[in-house]
Amino acid sequence: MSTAPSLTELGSIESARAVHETMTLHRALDTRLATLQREGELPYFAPALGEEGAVVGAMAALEPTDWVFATARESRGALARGVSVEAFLAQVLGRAADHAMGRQAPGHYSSRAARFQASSGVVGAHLLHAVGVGWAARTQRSGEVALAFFGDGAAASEGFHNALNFAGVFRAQAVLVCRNNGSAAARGEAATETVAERAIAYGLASERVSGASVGAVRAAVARAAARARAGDGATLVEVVTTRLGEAGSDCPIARLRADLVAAGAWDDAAEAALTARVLASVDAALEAARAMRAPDPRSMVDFVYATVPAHLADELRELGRR
Amino acid sequence: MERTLNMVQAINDALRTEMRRDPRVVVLGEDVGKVGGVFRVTQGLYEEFGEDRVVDTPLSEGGIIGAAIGMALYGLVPVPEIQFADFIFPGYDQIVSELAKIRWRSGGEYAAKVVIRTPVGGGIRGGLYHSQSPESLFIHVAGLKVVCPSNPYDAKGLLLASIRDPDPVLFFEPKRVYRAAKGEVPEEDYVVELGRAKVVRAAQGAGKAVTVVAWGAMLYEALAAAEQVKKDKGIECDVIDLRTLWPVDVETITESVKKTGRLVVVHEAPRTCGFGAELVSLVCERALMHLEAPPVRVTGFDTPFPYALEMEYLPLAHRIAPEIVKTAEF
Repeated sequence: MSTAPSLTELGSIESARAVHETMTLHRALDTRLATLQREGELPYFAPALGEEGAVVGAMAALEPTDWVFATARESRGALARGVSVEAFLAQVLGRAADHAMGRQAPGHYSSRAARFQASSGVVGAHLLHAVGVGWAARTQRSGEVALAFFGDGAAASEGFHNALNFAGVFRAQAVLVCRNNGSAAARGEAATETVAERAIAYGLASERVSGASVGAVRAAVARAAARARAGDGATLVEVVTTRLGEAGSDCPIARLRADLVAAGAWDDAAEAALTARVLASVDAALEAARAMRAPDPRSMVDFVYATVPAHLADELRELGRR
Repeated sequence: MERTLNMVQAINDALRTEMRRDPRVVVLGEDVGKVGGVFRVTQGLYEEFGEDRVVDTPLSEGGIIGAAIGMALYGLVPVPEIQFADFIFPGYDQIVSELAKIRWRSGGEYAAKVVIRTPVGGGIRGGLYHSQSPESLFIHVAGLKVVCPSNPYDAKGLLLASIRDPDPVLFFEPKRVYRAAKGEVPEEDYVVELGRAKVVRAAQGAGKAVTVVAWGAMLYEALAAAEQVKKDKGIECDVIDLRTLWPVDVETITESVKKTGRLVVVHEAPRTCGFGAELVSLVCERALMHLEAPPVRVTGFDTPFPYALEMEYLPLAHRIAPEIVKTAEF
């Protein structure tokens, strides 16, 4: 029995199964949260349905000590770092137990323990932060790499162009991963065919891979991370994705599953068991998160500064007067 | 040992002192390395600390501040220089949306310790885009501290305090007095605590007195005006140098106003929503019944900064003195 390239690129059957499970969980969570958003329980949610291969494939290429900067659309990448669904949903529902104390909009997930940082709402601004981390890692002679995700729309932002220029000039240990689902091009927002070709102008390496193959994504990001660690500078990795249900969409989960089945490492029974387990874990986590308490109103003034200054202590007295 | 230094030398001394003490401190910006900065504030640092710690960057303020935030997240303490405060606006989004909010939005898990140094103010024939005083645009943003020294001693001590403070700081350097203001500066390491104003001239006797609040280059104009009204009218002034603009030392101002009953605030920035508006509000909330006259703002006009008319635009002593007199005689 021949092994599909995607399984080789994922390292082993075991890691391929783990990636498949994370993508399945990602899909189930996004499906559920998109529904909650439509029903009005959530004010906002940015799903990545069909694009799980870009997110989970890139995460699978990193070391635990590498830094990740994600927008709301790639934040389920934190699941690959061992973040629990319950912890993730505490953020989405704005609960006190959230690492960020319920302060960011749903999906802007942040956790220091996971070396995972949420972008702000300003598109493209976080790319420079990854470059700064990767620049510091180089001057500190550390092997750490900073990876930042962004969508194709962000390739128009000033943050993107600044990040590419600074990454090139300072040979930052950074990997910039564009999840290109074609939406910006469809809106006529780019005059070049690819995002990757923009890297040339800034002296960066670049790769373009299909997001339908999670193995190809992992391999491309692993090459980029290795280049960064070797001191050869940053890489722009463009992952071409399709959104679920869109014409011509090519599902990375179905593809990997077919490869696993062909390798004799997966079957219908395993799939049914996984699906049931994942759905149950999302349900249970959602119930748990719903039952968690909201942040204490008095926590609002915490961490504006390292300590609460006098003027904020004064303002606190206005709380609870309704 | 003390030496007479100007502000440029004192700030350079502070940077050198801290870079020797703390290997995490790095300086970056346009021409800060080999050239030593547009005003030579970073002169000699590149030679002593090398290219990894004194970094010439591409010409992009958003890039400089955004990358500095990343370095700070990593654990370094970047001290970027923005050549003129007028050029800070391409980096304003990184300061307002990112730097100021990282600690808060991560629930205290992440912090970005960055001190942004930048020359401010007019009076150097710099014209529209080399003269502005944008301090209130940063004071308004939760999460930032804002500092503006008026003399070499404070400049060194406040910069060392700013770099050692855990929060991001905007460090505004009044370039009109970069070289004109000279004073004794110890060679030793010392800090001037943030958040403490200084009464640099105290009203004498029991006659009519006025509290005058200023900072940066305008402090010298306030002092000149105070001397003038004493000579001409026998009016006494408490002159307060704010030094740290935010968090502001409202107690020192209020304590003075409770004695004098009169307040004049001086700043170069345009009047509307300038920091003077906030200072007047803070004092009114705390000492309204002590006031003998309406508080007065002597400021730049609500116009862009004029090149040819800068000495008319700036709130110099000849504009401050009559306002002190009017307030005293109200």
